[in-house]
Amino acid sequence: MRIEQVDELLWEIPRQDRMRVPARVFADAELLDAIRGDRSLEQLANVATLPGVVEAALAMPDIHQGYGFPVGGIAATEPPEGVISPGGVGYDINCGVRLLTLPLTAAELGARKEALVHAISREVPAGTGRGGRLEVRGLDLDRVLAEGPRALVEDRGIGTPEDVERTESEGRLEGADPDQVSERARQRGGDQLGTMGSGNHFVEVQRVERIFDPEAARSFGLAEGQVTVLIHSGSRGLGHQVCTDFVRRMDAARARGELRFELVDRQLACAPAASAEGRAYLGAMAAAANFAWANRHAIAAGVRRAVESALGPQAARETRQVYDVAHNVAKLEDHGGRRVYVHRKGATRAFPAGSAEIPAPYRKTGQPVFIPGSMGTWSYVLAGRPGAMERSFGTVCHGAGRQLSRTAARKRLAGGELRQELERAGITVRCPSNRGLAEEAPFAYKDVERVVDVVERAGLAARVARLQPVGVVKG
Amino acid sequence: MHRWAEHTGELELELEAESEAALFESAVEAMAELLGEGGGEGAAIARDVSLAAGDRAALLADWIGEIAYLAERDGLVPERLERLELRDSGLEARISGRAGSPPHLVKGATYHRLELRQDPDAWRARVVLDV
Repeated sequence: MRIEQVDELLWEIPRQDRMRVPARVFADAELLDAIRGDRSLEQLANVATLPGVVEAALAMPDIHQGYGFPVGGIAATEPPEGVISPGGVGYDINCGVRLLTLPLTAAELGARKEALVHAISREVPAGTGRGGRLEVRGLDLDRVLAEGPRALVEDRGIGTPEDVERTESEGRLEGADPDQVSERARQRGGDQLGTMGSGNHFVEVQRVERIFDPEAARSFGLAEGQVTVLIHSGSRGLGHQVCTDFVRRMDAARARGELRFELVDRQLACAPAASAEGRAYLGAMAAAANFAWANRHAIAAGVRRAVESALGPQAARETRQVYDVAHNVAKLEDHGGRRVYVHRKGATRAFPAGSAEIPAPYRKTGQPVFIPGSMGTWSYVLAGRPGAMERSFGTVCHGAGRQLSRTAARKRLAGGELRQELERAGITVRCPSNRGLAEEAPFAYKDVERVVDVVERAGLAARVARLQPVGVVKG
Repeated sequence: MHRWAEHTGELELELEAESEAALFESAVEAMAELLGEGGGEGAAIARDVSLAAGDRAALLADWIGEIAYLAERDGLVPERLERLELRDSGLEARISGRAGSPPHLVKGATYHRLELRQDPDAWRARVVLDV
């Protein structure tokens, strides 16, 4: 596939064949070489064919092959003709990350780290279908779908109003319509609030290893040596079912001739945002996104219970939420004088200082963005910069990005050996599956330093702090 | 016969069989392998499945998605396809196995590069799973 260099960190696939706009990738030359090794760029070019897509289909340096959209892909579509694509948002609607700070340093935590990691593994159920201690059905579930974590604060006394304020979109997407969430999706989600799932989801205990921007770090409540907890999960079976339902529904509508456009990939199933199908999906997606925020909110409550049991009630009371960001979602936003649906598939909103969309305490620094590395490497805290609004629809990367398939990762190192390696490096591991552990090995991912370097030099976000893993709980 | 092809982010399943019905059976074998790691050591269980889809490839993806759903909802670690009736627009089937805690999450059976075809020598299919 022909790709042209625009500048040191931006590459373009010119508009060709059925592409309606060009496709652009933020990467350095070495990352681009790795990106060319799978089908990512072909998938990105496919995204550029979507009806109503504007400006360019974009990819972040952590891009890798997914299904339909590449992971790390971004597309903005302009209503009313512009489409909304459930395949573009993905199965794990509003998969995302939430960062908590604990009121002590890693040195003060000391030998109690093992007890803390163990307590988290007991309080936050992990694995495919494991339910949690919190069941929400019927009208209670409707409240969560409509209001997100605020419903848990107000109805169940779980978490605090400050947690809600320090969540992207305050944990509530406008237009959520619980009636568009199928009975099967409701049944799957009813007992899954507060559960992690499996795959690449985790709860990680970390130490703030380095501060890059002291002023921003202060505003985020981060200090060198401090203990943090990073939570990565999504909308669980409820969101998976919403995606399944609407990919099928839009695929069938197109087959019946009700949606008159050709698709280069069936998984890009979509409908004009203003159509009946499009409006129904937007209502269901928003409800699933709210459910995901409520899920991470409930997981954070589990972490606070673990902190209380391992470190005492005062430490639990003083455990604060820095922020919570979505990775897989479509949101109506204003960019370049247009009102567009920004699809982020494995990408993070990163609004700069001054944005009214971010919590007041962060308006001088820019929105906090969390970039998980892998179990054995750094994670980063970034702050959004104006370049993101100018160049990437207010978006940056979401992680390091996979570079090895799960099969290849397992072939290189057995899970048991990896567990020992991580323990030798001082990282306490709780994961029931050696297979799952091996598939998420650090070497399966790109170099997070390099990925973060690209988004910083491209002016999309800036480093605030670097976090070192000291314990991980995985599904 | 099934094979897991290389895919950076997800799982790509390739199937090959002598008949269309055998292709659907080989999908059960693949899912049994995926969901059986960690073992289904509990009671014997069986579930009836009824699906409808607009075309055969979508029916296969939905079939795999349904098996993943039963693993999540009921902890079904599939072992055998007891019955399969393929019809023009759907299927009826019964899957048996053991109750357990299937470790591997399948979020969805996607339509990305979805394919089901009859070649001169065999039936072949490809389904990408979101994991």
